Amino acid sequence: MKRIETSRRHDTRWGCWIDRRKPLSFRFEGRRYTGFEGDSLASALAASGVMVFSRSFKYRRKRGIFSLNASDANTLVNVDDIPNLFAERVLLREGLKAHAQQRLRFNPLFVLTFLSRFLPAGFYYRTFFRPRGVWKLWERIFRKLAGVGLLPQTKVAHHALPRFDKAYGFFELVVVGGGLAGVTAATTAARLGVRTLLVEREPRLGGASFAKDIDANMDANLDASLLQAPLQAPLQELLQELLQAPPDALTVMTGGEATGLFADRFLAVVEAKKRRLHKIRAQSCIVASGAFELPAVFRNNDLPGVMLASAARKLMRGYGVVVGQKPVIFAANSFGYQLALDFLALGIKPILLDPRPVPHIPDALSIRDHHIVCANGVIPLEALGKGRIQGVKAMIAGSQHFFPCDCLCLAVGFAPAAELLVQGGAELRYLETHHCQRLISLGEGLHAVGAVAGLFEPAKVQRHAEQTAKAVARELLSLRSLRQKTKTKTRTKTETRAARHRAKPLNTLPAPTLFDDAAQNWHDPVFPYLRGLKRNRSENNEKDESHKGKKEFVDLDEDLQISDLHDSVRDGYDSMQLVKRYTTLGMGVSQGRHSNINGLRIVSRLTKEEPARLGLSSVRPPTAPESFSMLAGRSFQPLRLSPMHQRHEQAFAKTMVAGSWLRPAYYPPPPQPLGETEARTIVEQEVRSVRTSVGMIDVTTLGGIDVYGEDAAEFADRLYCWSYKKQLVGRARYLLMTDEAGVVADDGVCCRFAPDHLYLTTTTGGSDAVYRALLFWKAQWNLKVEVTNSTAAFAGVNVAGPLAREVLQGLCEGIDLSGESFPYMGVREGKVAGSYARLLRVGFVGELGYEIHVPFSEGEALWDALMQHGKRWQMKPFGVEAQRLLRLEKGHIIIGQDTDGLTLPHEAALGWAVSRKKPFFIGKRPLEIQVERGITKRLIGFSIPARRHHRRHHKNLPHECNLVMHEGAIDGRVTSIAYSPTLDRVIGLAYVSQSRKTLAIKLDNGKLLQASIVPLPFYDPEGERQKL
Amino acid sequence: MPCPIHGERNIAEFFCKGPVLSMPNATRGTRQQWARYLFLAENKAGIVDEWWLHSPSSLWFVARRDTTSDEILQTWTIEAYRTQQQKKTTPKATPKATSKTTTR
Amino acid sequence: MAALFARRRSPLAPRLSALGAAFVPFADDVALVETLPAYHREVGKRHREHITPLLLCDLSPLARVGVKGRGGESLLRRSALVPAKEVNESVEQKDGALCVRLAGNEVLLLSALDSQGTHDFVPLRKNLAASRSKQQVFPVAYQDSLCWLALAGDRASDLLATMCAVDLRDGVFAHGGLAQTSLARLSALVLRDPVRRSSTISSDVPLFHLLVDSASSLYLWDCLRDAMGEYEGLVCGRQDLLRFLATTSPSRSPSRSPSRSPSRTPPRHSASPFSGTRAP
Repeated sequence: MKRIETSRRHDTRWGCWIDRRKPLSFRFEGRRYTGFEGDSLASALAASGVMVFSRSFKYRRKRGIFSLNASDANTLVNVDDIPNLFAERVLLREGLKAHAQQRLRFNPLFVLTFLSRFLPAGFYYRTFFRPRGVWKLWERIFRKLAGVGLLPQTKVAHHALPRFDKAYGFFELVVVGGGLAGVTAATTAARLGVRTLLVEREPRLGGASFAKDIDANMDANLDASLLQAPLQAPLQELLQELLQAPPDALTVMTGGEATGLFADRFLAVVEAKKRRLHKIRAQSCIVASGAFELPAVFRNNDLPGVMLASAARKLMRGYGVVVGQKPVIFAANSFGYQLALDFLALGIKPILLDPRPVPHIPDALSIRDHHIVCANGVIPLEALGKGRIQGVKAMIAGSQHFFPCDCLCLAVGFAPAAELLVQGGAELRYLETHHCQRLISLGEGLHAVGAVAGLFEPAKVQRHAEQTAKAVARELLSLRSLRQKTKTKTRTKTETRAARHRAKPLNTLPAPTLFDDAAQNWHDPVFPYLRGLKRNRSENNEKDESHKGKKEFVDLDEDLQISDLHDSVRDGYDSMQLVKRYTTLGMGVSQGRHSNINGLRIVSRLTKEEPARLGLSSVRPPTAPESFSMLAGRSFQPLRLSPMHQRHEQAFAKTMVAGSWLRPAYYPPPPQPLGETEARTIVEQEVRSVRTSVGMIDVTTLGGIDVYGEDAAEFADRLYCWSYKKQLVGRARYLLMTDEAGVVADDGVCCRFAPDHLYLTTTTGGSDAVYRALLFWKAQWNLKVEVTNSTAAFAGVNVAGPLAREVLQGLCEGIDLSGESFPYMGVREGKVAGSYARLLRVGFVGELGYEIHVPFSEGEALWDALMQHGKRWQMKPFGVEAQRLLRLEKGHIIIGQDTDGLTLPHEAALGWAVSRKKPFFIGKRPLEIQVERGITKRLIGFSIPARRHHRRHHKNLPHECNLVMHEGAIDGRVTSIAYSPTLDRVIGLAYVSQSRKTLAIKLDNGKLLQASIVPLPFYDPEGERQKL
Repeated sequence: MPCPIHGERNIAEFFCKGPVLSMPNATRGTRQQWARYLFLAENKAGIVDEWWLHSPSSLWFVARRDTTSDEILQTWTIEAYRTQQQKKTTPKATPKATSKTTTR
Repeated sequence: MAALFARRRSPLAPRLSALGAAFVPFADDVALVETLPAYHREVGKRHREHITPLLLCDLSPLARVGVKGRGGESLLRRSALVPAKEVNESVEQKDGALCVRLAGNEVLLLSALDSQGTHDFVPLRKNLAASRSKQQVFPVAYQDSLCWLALAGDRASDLLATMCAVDLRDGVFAHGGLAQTSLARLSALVLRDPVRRSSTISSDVPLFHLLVDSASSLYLWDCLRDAMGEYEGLVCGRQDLLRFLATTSPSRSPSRSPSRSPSRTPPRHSASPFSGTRAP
């Protein structure tokens, strides 16, 4: 491996973020480089002279460090197989392997840059689809070209995957941003006793101030020789105080990025290093997220080596990297001049180009003694160079000048990084006086300090941050004492805390007169090439602006040039919302951070609208890219298991999911996986045993609700369709529940154990919904009734089959199981296998059967007793598949499968369960109205003679949801279908518009199959077997 | 959501059933009244009293919400709401004026 | 193991058996885990390494009773019990039992932690069976519909913060307070043990009672064990728990939640558990 270019690291000066004693080696694009501990990948590469990090999205132009702030996609790299990471956010470590995500050296797609004429904004709306079918060809090409990063190709074993976690957090005050403003606010608030969290994205505090930023883990000894600028002193003191603050009052989180602010100050904070997503509820939030620098737009402003002044400053001061030996600084504010001083401190003479026509006195004075080239009234024309910047051409006083350089720094202004605040309801407006966006109102409980609020001067920042923090602390402490007082009062207070709190909203924004922007932002850093060439800048000359492919990049991520915005406006898409969507301005990785404001200025000029009136599109979370793993970490999928679950597992039952429960579907013989045909055979065997001898099934999942009180029957009467007031104690009745529109909602059985005690069962999936509905209606009526959800209080087993009575006789105490004393549709209480039990004798599968409900904790014991006792009769358990088949043979419907969101009881053959005499039940009147109008469909039973190949392969048999056809039109659909071993026919349920003799079902392959309509139930129509 | 019994909790713990409506008469109600009650939602842009459920405790209560700003103005237990309705005095809830010019 | 032969079984018995727990008979026909051999092995190691212990204990076999209705308060008084005054609060009874007031006219009674299981709530049960409609009070089958887990230790609220969106920290969530909320997406009752009169249970150690639907108990157990890994938590038996509560005084560690804040002297228990090879 050839060693790379000479190091650009300065030996001794600055680099306060790195530790020169700890070198680290890493690889980029296969070559080996060295950096230091504390370096980011970007700074280490910059120090090693690497200038090209990627190729741009559309034109595949070479790109390098631009903002060093995740405000552009130039530095997206693939690190250790993880794609799309910002190189400036990756902390360097030993052995790191990084790759660019495009071909850096010889990229054949670079030819696109010469075809830019044919690729204006929105070109894809008008091309690639003629002649017909040509898109298939283009699509294959685009799939290869599009996208940025590549997902890892190697599979990682599940247990070797890193684990991601989540945690909730609760604080009274969260301060986002650990620069001077943030640290001031946090320490002030903590001093006053407010529970504060300070969140800072970088691994160190300090923000844009280049003090010796103190990592909270490091020693507090401060090296005086590293103090470089006047704002260091106040920050040092604060950081000292920070280290001594009690942990209860102030928590500091470095390496945490707040990516979203949701309603009522609910923050998402991503702590990438610890792989944890924090969901933090703050009562108040002070956002000190700073400002990001804006670029200038001119020809070839995307060349590697052209960067923002803040990036250059970070590289030099923070990482000790000399960004260039022959720098040119395009400076429209004092920040650029300060950068010039930084270069001078390294012994390098920069060239200053200032667009301001007249020298700005303080700036000019600062560099007076250094004899450097400084020009005013400069209009940049273009940056020149092949693959990296080699010089700058500019127009000064009407004549062109060329400045050779190896680095071009742009300092034209700042915009507030107010995304979080805007998500929380703040309003940004473009102020003409300051040539930038400013916050003019904040959401409730939100405050802004520092550069995001428009203040840059350190003394001002500190004062405002202190004032804000004090005001916020006062408000929070008074709320705290208010909340403690209300705890002792009764809970029927009607006034909410929020109403009281909202009475006097706190306004902490600084007055506009305090803003420092006016000196910071250049009003128009957009310099179209052709306009610059002309001596006098004619504002209204359209021809100036209509220049194709002059490579003045507005949005680096999307490779948008000024001409693209022109095209958009010319095509009629001239509001900012339309420009954004048509040109994709601001839709790239940086989400408009470096492109939106300049785009706004250009469109404003073209449409002759005020920037303030044009506005910008809204900002949504996340403010920074989040990995899916972070969002998926520690996710919860509740699972409910019956107490007999272990027994099912030990019997190798195949489980299925029913709602949040796991139920055994069938019990295969041990333990190899079964194919579909074998599984069906097992199910048919289970069905046969139940019909001929006896079987048992775990029915714990069915819901149970206990209703107590003297009005219990009246309550049931009002909620369900049938009548229960005259139901005798010891009897069971069918329950059908309809919703307010008369649509079938749930069904079950109502058991009366006492005059004031009803036990209502529900379907497995409906227990929660029914319980809530019962509570809702209970609250509407003034009845003497109490309702409790006993679903998990009872475990249940249903013993069904002609031998059921024989089997249970030996286990029951206190219950006479004979047919006379315990008839069909009866309920009894007693003991089974020593446990208190409720026995229900209901239809279930159409055989003699008893449903036994025992306390949940005794379920397993009951199962064991039944299995043991039942050995004599070879009683085996059966599962849900067999249950469904048995019930289908009896024509029982499944709510949700044989009914849908519109099915009325009369349509589902349940009209008999609707009382005509009751004065009221939920859904009564709507049901009456609809029945009057006429029932348009009916659920009927059909049967198909079974052929041998039907049984074995189930080919050419209808499936659920196959359509029923009549005279070429759709007449209904099949809702359930299965082969019945008991009847040796294929039976099913279907909806039809009219009851006929036969129906025609359209199979999946398009053919029609004739089936005969038969009355329900298919098996034992008189119901004799269940009344044994 | 400031639940009247449990205090302020994340909105994820709650479920909104819809506005508080009175059912038309079960025997004398006309088709139009019933159809309007069941299928035509007023969808008012303004202050609405709604039924809310606190899922973990299956507790129903009433909340007054400004549907334009999604702010919860006040909450009541069912008994308190009933007494409040019977008195026929509506408390003065002050909806916060929010002017948003950033387009969504 | 005794668990297999007792008629009433805690839904968490399979997990405890897998940890090698020994079940002893308790009350009429239920088995309880009083102590765990693995706990004794591990807890000493924790103390030596200055890790604040975090304990999880299954208390499902202990007695609990629920009553619902307007006549609940008077029924409690007739049964020589002191009802809690406010909703979402609990009050300690003479024998160490807890009376917790839930929303909707419901009261939950939890037996004393050191109960022997034979005399819990006898007068209450008798009165409840006798009256009912007349007294407007009805039973709720909490003995079976809820499982009962205890979580003790300084880091308990940090653990719960990974799965519960309610602030349960010291100073915010009062002693004796109840939060009916969502825990790992389950409906749960989270109760902080009230300040106890007796000296056998120190009020300084945070102790939480978690009560969830019995059918979801195994799921919650697995979630808690998984989250406990980060804090090196341990499963213990009832006697182990009582001993821990009696003897431990809280360690005032420099940072309460080191997993969030970088502390000056990195405490041992902030080591990241996510090193890939850790089994849940």
